[in-house]
Amino acid sequence: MRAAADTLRVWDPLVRLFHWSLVATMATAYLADDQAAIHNAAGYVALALIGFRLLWGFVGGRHARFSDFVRGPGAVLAYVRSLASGHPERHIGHNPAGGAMILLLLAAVFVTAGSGALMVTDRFWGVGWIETLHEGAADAVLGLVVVHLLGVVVSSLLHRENLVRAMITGRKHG
Amino acid sequence: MIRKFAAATVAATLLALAPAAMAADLCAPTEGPRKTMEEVAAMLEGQGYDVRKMDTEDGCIEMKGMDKDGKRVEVYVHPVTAEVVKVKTQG
Repeated sequence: MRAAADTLRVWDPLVRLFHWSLVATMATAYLADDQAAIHNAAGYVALALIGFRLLWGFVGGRHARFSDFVRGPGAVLAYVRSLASGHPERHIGHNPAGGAMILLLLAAVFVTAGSGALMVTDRFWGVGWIETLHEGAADAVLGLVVVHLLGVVVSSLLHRENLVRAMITGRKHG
Repeated sequence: MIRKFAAATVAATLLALAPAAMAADLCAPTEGPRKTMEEVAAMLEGQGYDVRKMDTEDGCIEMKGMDKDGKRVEVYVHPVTAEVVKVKTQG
């Protein structure tokens, strides 16, 4: 067990709070999908969380900033290849694949919650395409979450790092 | 301690399921020919509703639309008697 002195502070408190709040919010929305009051409230909270994260991505802690982890497709491929080779690239913050996942998840959650918010306005109430968009985006979020969890497990094993714990404590091995 | 927790879990589960259980009785099947969604839509339009979408839920025929006061509503109609059994108004 390494001492705290050997660890790096990577995830600031707000980015961690955001992450787990979004998990709780989305889980609530899924579980209460037939209880409008709870479901809709969770959706509005999700929108607020996304809004915060977008802002934080520009002014937040070092590894929370988009500039720290948003990379082009070349970098994402290079990282994935490095995993397959057994010599994974080491990134203190989000690796390029993780960075891509974050953008996809933020977009999918935003489209889900946004279409949901529109669905309960007079203009879009009962309108088929927006209901289909909402359900499709929600399915996309679910699919992305599954991939995200797999990625976290694979990266954790290959880097010998408990990435879930890191997102709780904020600390990684130096 | 464990028993109290188990009892609380059972109670909470029953409470959570209760709304679904109550809803299932509203449109319990009755003898007779079922109305079509088009027929129900036409009936509700005649009552002043702006029909946006028709669906089924818990055995009822469900209409999503606006009532005559322009409020968002979900109207549940019995598929055989064509009786409006529930109207949910959205704020």
